[in-house]
Amino acid sequence: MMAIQVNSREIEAAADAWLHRKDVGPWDRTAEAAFEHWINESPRHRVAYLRLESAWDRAERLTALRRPDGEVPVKGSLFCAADRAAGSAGVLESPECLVGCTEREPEDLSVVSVSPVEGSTRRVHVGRRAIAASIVLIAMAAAFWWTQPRGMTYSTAVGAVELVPIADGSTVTLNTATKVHIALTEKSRSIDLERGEALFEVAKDPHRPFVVLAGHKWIVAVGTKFSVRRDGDDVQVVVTEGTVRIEGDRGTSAVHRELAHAGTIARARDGDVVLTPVSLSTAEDSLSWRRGILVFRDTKLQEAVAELNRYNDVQIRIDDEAAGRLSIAGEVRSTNVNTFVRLVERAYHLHADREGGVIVLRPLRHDEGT
Amino acid sequence: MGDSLDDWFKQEVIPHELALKRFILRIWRRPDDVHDVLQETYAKVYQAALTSRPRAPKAFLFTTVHHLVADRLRRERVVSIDAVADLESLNVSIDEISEERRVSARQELKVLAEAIDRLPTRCRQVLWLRRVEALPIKVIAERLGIEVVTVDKHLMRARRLLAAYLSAPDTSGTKTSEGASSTIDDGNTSEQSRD
Repeated sequence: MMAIQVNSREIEAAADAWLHRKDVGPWDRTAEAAFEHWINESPRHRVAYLRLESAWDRAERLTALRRPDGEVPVKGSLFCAADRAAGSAGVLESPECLVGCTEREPEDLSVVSVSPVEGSTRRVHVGRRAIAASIVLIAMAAAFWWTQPRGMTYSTAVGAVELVPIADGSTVTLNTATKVHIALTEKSRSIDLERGEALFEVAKDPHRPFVVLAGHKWIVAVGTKFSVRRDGDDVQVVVTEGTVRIEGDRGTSAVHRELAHAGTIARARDGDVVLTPVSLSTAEDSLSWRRGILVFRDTKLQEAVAELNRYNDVQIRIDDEAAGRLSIAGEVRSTNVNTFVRLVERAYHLHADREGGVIVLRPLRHDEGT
Repeated sequence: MGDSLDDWFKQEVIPHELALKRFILRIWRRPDDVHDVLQETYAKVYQAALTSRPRAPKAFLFTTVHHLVADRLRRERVVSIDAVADLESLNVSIDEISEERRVSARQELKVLAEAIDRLPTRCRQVLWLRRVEALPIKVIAERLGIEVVTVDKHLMRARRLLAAYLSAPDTSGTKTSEGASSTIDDGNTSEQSRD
């Protein structure tokens, strides 16, 4: 095969020039030899030429529509002329051909077929029911609220997403394997993120600060939308609306204060808070879990797998460092491990072995691939 | 051997171009690359046919493009799992893809008429005068009041466009939904915008 990088458009232009020269001349032995040399140089040359020649040959049929006066027919007049020509020549092959002179087959070039995804619909319904139940619970809790500031605990199973409305009008959406404790008092709204990840949509109330505790960090919000994710003492905050203040460290004398505005990802670890400005769409991508979807944009396979593992009891492991460093882009349903594994197998030439509750991805031998 | 193989290629391979283009668009999703993928596929098919002609040219053509796209996906730095999903889901559906193979003479004329009506005015005139009226370039130039080299240019462009239009649905403005987000769900793709 040709190893050289070729440009298909340039090859086509060259093929076109040869076809033109053959058609209008001059054409002699020298030209013929040069042409033979060119067309034999690469299969790409040949097929490009054959393709143009084939179209040009086909166009000869247009002579059936030639006008007696030798003029070029005006645009749009050819359709009916084509019908007449074909009809009078008796080449009409089926009666259906008589109808729909200008009718065309609908061309379907769309890439994405839209179809309802059952899983997500169900998820949403469960969510709604949970909301309804929660509202009742909240209403009951509200009765105790002023006297009993003990609050309530909510948790989700692996792979689940749940929305919890709070009595003050705010909402908390719990991601997979998450546990929060919500306590409202006259003077404060306090949420303890014991584990996992949650999105907070905070109703404004200047008299009662909205505070999320995540390990040693306090995240104080004023009328805003943000998510907090906790992996042990590592805390990540994504702000999609308004501003939050990140304070630390609880229990130590060192007090950090960082303001994070909309479009910021803040990572806190070992007493440091690193703020990274991101586009709002990137910030929103990190919340796609609410729809049961994970969005990867140039993400390392290793990280994508770690992310997916949060949502599933079945765990994926990559047994190859190089493969783990490959990048991946796209969207996956967070609980659809099998599809993910199948696609990754295909795309990266990996092979999946099921070993108990773990799916191990290993490189395929070279000769095994197709 | 060259000529007969060339004829075979024109009769058995090129007529599938429309279906092939659609297929490439669905699995590769970059309209700008279709031309290149198509040419490479043709080249591979032609080369394979040099040794022995495939018995089922259509199936061979689609298998070839399938492998080729899978190869390209693998070489991509960032693998789009959406594209792989499509590739996978289309793996078995080659036969379902419609194609206009044997058309009646009337249909063929209509296809041609439609294609040349899409050409820019000058290209269309020049092509007609050369192909239908068989006029020499010089005469065409005089008749249209333009330079000979301009006629050459228009005619060459007309040939390229004709080849493209003859195997293209009438969708000059159509783009693949590059921006659309699709979601893998056991081979189904779906658009999600729920909140």
